[in-house]
Amino acid sequence: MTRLLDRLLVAVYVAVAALPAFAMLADWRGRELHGSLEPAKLPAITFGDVLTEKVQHGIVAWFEGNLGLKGSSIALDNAILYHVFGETRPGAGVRLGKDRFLFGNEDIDYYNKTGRWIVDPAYVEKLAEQIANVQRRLRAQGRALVPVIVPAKTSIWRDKVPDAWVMDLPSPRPADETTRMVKEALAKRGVVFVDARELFVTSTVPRIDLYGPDARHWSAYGACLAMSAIVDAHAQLTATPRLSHDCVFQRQRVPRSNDDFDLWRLLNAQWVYPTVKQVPGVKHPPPPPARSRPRMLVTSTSFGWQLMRDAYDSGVFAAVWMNYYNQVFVDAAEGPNAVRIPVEPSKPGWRDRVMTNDLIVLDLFESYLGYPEAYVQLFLDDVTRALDAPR
Amino acid sequence: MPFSSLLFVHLFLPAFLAIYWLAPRPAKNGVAIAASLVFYAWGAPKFLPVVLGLGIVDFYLSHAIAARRSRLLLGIGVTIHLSVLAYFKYSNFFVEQLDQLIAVFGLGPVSWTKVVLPIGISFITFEEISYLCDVYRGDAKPARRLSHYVLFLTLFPHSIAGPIFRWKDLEGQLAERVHDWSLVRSGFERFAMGLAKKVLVADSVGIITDGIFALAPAQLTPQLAWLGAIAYAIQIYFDFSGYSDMAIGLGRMIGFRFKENFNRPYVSASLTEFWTRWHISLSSWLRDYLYIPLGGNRRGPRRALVNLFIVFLLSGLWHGSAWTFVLWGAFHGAFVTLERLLGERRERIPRPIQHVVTLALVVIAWVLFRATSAGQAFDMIAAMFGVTPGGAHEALPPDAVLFPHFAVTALVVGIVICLVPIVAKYRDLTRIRIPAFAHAAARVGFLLLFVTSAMHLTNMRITPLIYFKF
Repeated sequence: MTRLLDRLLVAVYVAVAALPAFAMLADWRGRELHGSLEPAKLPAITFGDVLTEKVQHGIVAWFEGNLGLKGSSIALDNAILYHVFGETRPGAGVRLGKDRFLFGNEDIDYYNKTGRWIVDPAYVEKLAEQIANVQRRLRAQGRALVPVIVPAKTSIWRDKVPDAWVMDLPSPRPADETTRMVKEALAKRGVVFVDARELFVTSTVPRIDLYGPDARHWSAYGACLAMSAIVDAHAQLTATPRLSHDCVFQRQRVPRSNDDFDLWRLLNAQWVYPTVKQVPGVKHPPPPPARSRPRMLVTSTSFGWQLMRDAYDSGVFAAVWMNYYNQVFVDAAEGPNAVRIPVEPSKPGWRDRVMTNDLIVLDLFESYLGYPEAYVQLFLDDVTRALDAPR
Repeated sequence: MPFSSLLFVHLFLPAFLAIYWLAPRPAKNGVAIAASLVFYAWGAPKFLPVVLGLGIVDFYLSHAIAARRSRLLLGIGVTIHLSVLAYFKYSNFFVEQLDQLIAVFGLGPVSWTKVVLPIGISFITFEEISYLCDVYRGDAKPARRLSHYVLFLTLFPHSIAGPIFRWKDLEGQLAERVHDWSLVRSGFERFAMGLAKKVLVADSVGIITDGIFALAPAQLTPQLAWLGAIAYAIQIYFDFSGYSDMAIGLGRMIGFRFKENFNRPYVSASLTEFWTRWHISLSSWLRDYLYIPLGGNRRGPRRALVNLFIVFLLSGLWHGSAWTFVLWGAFHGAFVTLERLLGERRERIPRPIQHVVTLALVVIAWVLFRATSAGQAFDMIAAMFGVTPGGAHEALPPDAVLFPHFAVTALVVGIVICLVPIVAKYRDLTRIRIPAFAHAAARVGFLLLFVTSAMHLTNMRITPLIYFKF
């Protein structure tokens, strides 16, 4: 009997050890993994590459990337971390806050920004000066550049950040100080801008409808409110009647592939469900007939996707494009599978896509504020050069 | 290919075992050699010919030594192995020191291409030396077959991080060993335990250790410094003993019975006792092939103390070519020497105090072992005693980064596992009856540990075993 039991146990151990490799052969991927890299390909095997261990590293990467049932294994382990220890895996892009609120790593990092990473005040002044200059010159052409302070989730849901994630920093925290400096520098120069952080904090709309517990970004409704404020700024800068842009709130049931669940998806955990079942959505009243409609470009981080969709769905713009991190252009009319066109300021197409817009929205996302190498600076430099160039 | 890697657990191990078990008895050693060569070549392909070449030299040299009882031939053999070790392990360190020295005289650095340290070289060298010495002393017979000696050197369960085998312990098993299912099952259970120690405890606690050791000196409080040092003591024990468990388990799966390498070291009441319980295969090697040849206790008490100190100093250097390891060896050497000087007077100290003092000394010494430089080690040790070096204060990283809940849990579990056996030293626990269901529960428990460790391994970034550096 003992002998039989020993054999049985050995068989179980071998089966457990070999199962992922068999599952790999059978192409059983297990649960879908979100936010993971594409699995590596099997490297070409040469004697020289074996000696330098390049082949070995390549095989390890290939094996680990394609391991069968990997998704299920990871989801079960993450479920233990989530339910037993109340946390996510170190190095994961998502953090578990109070009341199951989720935060992106970058937002927590931004909230804990220390003196070492604080933005140089001289640079903030220079940036504000350049924004003021571009806004003034475009305004002279009847166009509008509208900078938008986009709030980090930790600015709106500060009370949901667990104490264990809060670094002991002087008040005001350096992150808040950076945002304050930028706003003050813009206001000092008379720049017309939208402060979506202030808009959300002072709004009478429940926060959960502006920024979802499972989302990295603002909700569709939050983006719509920001877009409305952008439309106000456009009217002010171009001295034209306000575009007909209104946000009618509606709660809707959406698939879990929706943006409002992007952080939840990154949990990659079994038996963990989104905090909300329905997400805040927007319905736009049909726009009144107009002889001509403005063209709009959003130069932005991923917060721009909601803005772009909202502007397009509102029907008040003739064309809506997004300039994603000053790297690719995307046409809202083409939908989710839009062709991504590289941003190449030296080519003639760039001027047509950027300098012909009536409204240019510039996303000043708090977490990335004030870094000279960031997309904001690169875009402003490109536009400044285009304005300086003879026609 | 660490044992705690997905490739090893999910591909190499099951594939090897399937081939090994299916192979007819006479072919089993051949399968084990082939697998071991693949395993070794995976991590050190350029060094494999050196290992094999040295194995062939040893084989023929050992026969000549046995035939002539030649001290000269033994000397040649030992010199060859120490030279190889010195070149691969210490030449970079030597050149660095030389560069610093000649820089004082305004000279530029020596032109030198850094030598890559082959995995397991320290372990293999010691095994080769002990083989030649045992043959010379008549304690062991020279290998009858070259294949047996090659298998002894390269047998993959031990080739990269020990335990350090003795030829005389393994010779019989290489020629003939029993393969039974009970042994194989216990091998899997031992492997599961080792994997869990490494993946669930050592790597988790390593997050705390890494976080605290990465802090600037001005950020260190006494509490944090002690916590970092204690966490490292737990991490290194679970890491290294976990590796040894996996090696012993793998051995059992193919019919070998390896000697234990750890025996609950943190229950020790003295450093002398600690070294009979920690890395036993190394400490016994140092005793038999260094301490005794130096004269051991035979040349009087003073010389014995000097010998003892030399052994620990060299043990430190064996662990790594850096001053921190030399200091670590010297620290242990100094206190073991002091314990011997105190002799029976030490026994007058109450036992609990002996345990606390021993643990404190071991933990402090681990700081020397873990630190990236002697300066960092001194800063850390100073902080442990409330001396915080000056400098600009900077806020600490968030608690959640330094102390994730699962890492803290692993630390507490690790401390309990390490310290509870102290009770067994003073109370006879053998009379406690273990109910039958506990054995069944243990079978299920080991299996669950294996599954959980494999899942966690898949989810976590794979950290190399600490002892791979040596």
